[in-house]
Amino acid sequence: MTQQDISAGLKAPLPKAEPVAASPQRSAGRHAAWWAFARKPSTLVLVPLLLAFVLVAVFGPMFVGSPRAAAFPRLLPPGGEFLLGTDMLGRDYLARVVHGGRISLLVGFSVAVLCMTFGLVVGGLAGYYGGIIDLVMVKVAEFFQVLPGLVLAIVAAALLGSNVLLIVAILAVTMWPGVARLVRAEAMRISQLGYVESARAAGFSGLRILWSDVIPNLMPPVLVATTMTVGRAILIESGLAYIGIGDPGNPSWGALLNSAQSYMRDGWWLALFPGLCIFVVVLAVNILGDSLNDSFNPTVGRVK
Amino acid sequence: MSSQVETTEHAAGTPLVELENLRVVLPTGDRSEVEAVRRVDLVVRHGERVGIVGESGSGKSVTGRAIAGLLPTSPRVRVSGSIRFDGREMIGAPDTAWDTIRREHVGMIFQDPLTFLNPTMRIWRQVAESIPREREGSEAARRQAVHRFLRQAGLDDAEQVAMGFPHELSGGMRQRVLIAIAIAKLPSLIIADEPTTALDATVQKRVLQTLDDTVSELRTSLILISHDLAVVSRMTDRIYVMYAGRMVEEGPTAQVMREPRHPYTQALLRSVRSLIDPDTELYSIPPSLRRELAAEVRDAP
Amino acid sequence: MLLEAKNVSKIFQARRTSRPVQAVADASLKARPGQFVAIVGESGSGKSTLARILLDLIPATSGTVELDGTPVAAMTAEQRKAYRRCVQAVFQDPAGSLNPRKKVERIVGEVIRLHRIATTRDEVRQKVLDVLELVGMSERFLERYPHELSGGQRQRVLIARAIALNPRIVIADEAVSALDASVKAGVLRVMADLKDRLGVGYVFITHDLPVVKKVADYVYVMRAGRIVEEGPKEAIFTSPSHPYTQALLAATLGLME
Repeated sequence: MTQQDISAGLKAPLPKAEPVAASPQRSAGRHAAWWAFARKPSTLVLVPLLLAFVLVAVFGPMFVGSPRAAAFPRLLPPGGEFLLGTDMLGRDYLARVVHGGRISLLVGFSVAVLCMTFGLVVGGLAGYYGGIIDLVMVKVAEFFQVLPGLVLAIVAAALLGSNVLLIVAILAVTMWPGVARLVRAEAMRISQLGYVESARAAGFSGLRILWSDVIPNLMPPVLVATTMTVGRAILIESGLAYIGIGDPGNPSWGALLNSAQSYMRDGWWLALFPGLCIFVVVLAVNILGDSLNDSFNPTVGRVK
Repeated sequence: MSSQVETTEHAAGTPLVELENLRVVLPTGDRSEVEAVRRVDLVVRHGERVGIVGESGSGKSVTGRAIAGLLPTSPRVRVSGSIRFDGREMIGAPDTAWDTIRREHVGMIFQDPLTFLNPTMRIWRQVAESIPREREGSEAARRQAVHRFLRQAGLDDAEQVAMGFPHELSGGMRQRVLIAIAIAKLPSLIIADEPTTALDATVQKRVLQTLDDTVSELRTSLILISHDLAVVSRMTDRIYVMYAGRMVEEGPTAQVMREPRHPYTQALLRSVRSLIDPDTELYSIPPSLRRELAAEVRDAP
Repeated sequence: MLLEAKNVSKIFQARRTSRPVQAVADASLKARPGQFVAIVGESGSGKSTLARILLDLIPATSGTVELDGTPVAAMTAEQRKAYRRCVQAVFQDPAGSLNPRKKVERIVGEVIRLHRIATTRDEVRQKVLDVLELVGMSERFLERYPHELSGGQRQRVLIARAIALNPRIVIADEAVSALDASVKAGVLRVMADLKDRLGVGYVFITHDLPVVKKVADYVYVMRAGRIVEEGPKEAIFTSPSHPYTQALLAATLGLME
């Protein structure tokens, strides 16, 4: 029943399958979408741009001065020794913006990653298994979705003190249900497809199928949503900082914006630079997410 | 089933649709494209029933859609050659001309009724939309017309069906609704693309009978596109055989079936017969023949 | 070896709508290696549901599926896994039958790995090649993705994956229905050859009567969830007793010569 039969079977010739001629199709399909995305002019400009921001956020603090040292003349306009000027307490603004970037980007990316993780787990389990599991997961997601984020943030900050981790936690907790919803819908659709049923018939376990067949095939829209989440998280965090919820010792761009409010006339650069950074990063991330979406859902008619 | 060529308002036998040197190029990916239809000549006369037979990828569906002007509207889709409808050249004609053709003269019946029918619109409205403006009377008159068309398409329970939604009907009934929509415009041509492929055998037989009866009654021309030789051979006067975008054989149906001349047609017939005849070994077209055919298609002028 | 369904019934309870649907009612059938058993019926006859019950993908509401006398429902997890090796599935190929992100080598290989038919990377690859050759596909298909294959080729990959486990019985649900004539003939030939050479048995589910007439040994006719008639192929086709069978046969289109 083993090697024997198979080798015996190899003896006589069978109707051969014709190869698909010269496969111009080779480039079509999933990988083509990534290549298409990579070739877009917007991608080629924005990805390095974002990378630059990330690099500065990660390594920048090593090269700039201290963001806390109130050692310099106050409110110096940008130029000369102080590239971005100094703020109302005489601190090097370049250092403050660079450190602020670290916080803002950290928040943005960690929230996005957390949302994606929770979303995949909860949405994937719900969509694939259905039944009780689905019911429970949906309820859990709904609970977190209706939590009033702002109130939660204020209360949490009051009770536990504001620090970056808390902000990340609160944002992740309120934003993950959106991703989970998307994952669930896609998982449900994919679970109906032939290859999932075949995998079950072959004897693979549910979790294995989820990991190996379902989730990889729903990543494109999830990646798009995750990219958008980066932007949204940064904006919301900026908003929270603006109303005073944020780590006072480690101000993000939003917090810097907040402090810059009263100095619009004498220190216009105090609002401009962090504001510009937020704007550019969020815009870049949104455009990338949008163009990623376009790459995976092309609208050119593809006819057989 | 009958296959008579009847006289119509137009002089019988004059060409209704003429394709000359038709060439259609379609995009298949970001950078690639394929010549789906290569230099095809085809004629359908008034009152004539013509079949186009071929496997998937042969270009038969694309040809059908080109005649109806239903190719995708991307700039990467290129159509050249000549498509003449009742003598009028359609390639390069303004969109309004195509719209008129589609609205009044050509009825299309596709394979998958579910995607073609609006799930949120009642059946009677979808049939009514097909009735050209000038013939619109009062709403009551239109409803009557709809019922008439539904009955003509084989749906005896016309009133009930008309008030329902697509998902409430079975596959065969949905297909009959498509027939009703097609005939509601009193077309001079019906193009049916794999009309019964998705249906069970018993339903298939009945829907084809309905189509046959309707085409005879209305004396429209018919282009029947299918990979199913049995279906096409029973319903058509003349047949075109397509392979990889080219017409490889053409002639009166009975004759082509009896004495196919092109190797592909011969192989196809042999294959089909091998599936039915208990004593014949199952025959599929060998790769060597396919290579030859591919070369022939490629090198043809 | 005997795969048997005994008085299997399946009732679907839709969640929100009122009426439960009886998809299968009191169906009994037998299948053996080396034998080509066909279940014939139209859409809604319950044949696909019965197939999935045989494959242990859906539980039966009543009745049992037994392998050599052991009910599947009573099997341990290990026994179930062995059952799945023994009774494999080939479904129809519309788009979606194969994971678009996996190459052919992986699609066939992962099943081999799961059931430990081979363990090292080279062994698995060799086994995949052997099995692809059995269905008439060469080495160059290993690196292909599903979208780079034609319908017939995808169907062959599905068959290869099923065969790779050396099953005794393959349950094929509308496996050739969507294929063109020549491709259909090719795939059927592969299936028939595998039956002759490896002794595999088939439970072939279809609405396509001409195909059944050509390849089947024994036929079950299903309608509205019930098996209305059964018998050896010749008996069914030459002297059908049930009126439904007669109607089905009358509807078979033939070629106009």
